[in-house]
Amino acid sequence: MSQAMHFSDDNLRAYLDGQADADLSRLIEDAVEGDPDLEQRLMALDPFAAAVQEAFLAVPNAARLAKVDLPEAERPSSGGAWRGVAVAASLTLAVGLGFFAGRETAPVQEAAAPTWRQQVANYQSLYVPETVASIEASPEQLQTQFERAGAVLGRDLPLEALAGVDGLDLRRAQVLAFNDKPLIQVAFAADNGVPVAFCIIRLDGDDRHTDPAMDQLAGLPSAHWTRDGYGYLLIGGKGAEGIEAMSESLAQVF
Amino acid sequence: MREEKNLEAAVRAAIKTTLPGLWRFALSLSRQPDVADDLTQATCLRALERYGTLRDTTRLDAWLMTICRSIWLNELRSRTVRQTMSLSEQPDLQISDLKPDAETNIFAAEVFTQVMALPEAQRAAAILVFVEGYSYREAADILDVPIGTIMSRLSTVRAKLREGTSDVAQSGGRDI
Repeated sequence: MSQAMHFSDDNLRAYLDGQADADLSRLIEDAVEGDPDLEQRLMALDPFAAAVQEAFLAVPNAARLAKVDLPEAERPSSGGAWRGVAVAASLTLAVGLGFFAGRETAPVQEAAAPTWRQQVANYQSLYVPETVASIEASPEQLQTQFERAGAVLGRDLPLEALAGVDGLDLRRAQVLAFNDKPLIQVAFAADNGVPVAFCIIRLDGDDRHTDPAMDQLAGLPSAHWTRDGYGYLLIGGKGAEGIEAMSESLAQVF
Repeated sequence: MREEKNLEAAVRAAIKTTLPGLWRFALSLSRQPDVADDLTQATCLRALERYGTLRDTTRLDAWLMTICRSIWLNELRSRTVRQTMSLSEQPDLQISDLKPDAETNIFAAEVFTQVMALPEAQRAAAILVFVEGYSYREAADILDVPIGTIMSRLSTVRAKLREGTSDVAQSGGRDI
């Protein structure tokens, strides 16, 4: 078993900036194949990722997505019965037919995902079940963590509300920061052990009120909403359904 | 039967959350918003038709992207390319074409135009990794190429963006 090769951030920046020589470029590209951590470091340092993401997250608008029509969920009893519907509709696009018009199929698309959410998502994507399984905190430690996090945020952070979420086992509350704004990450293990995070950031000067909206960030299902100057993000798990249900429940408290 | 219902519900939920990204990926393949509409619609219907064959349900979003690419390659690409070739002097797609109702950041508009001017393979890699956040290996799986190919395509994308966009747009990219 060969030991993973270490590359400095300067090496990786040189590669991403097209300044690395052919040997270094080849070494990095070869190493990435067996080194997911290196891959994540490269992705985080990429000088163009954020600019391209900002440009493209602006599209499509909700009206465009509302054109996508899906058959109703109730299905006939026999298996494979979708085939008729699907073949009839495939590639001819139901746009304009209107037979499912008005159904709420399109998630609300924001102009662009705030970068704090993307940053959290990138971080969360590095979590594996072992990450949260290894976090041990006593009830007293959790209480202290929540008090400290609440003080930093400038609002109450009720431990009992987050300790009692169905399907989530509370592991830790951590104080982080994004662009000098306090950012709290509450880590959970879902029933199946998969990591889930609930994050709160103080949005200084932004008092918009938005209801939970689903999104896919860094390959993870997420729900986000804002209330009274704070932004909330629930992210992780194995399915969007679970995140959606939990976000609705959390949005009643936060 | 209950398991099948659950799977269908999971696929529907995945469609709901992946829809914007799916459309963007469809646009990256086709370069034409109307074709992206068709491709997105066809992908969703195909997913609802085929979920019974799913073995791994952990990454339904990536599965949807794979279906999208497959439909594009097998059913829409040749037709679309033929039609595009017959429309000479077709103007480049601008972000304002898709977002006429909102003020567009000039640098975002510049980057959008540059990316849309890239060849299909580079566009698709850039959208999957830079915009949708897939890792290189995930993008490689979706596009069915080696991971080294994704890295090489992204290197080319960066080089072209470096040449084609203003310094401000590039520095905007660093300001995460």
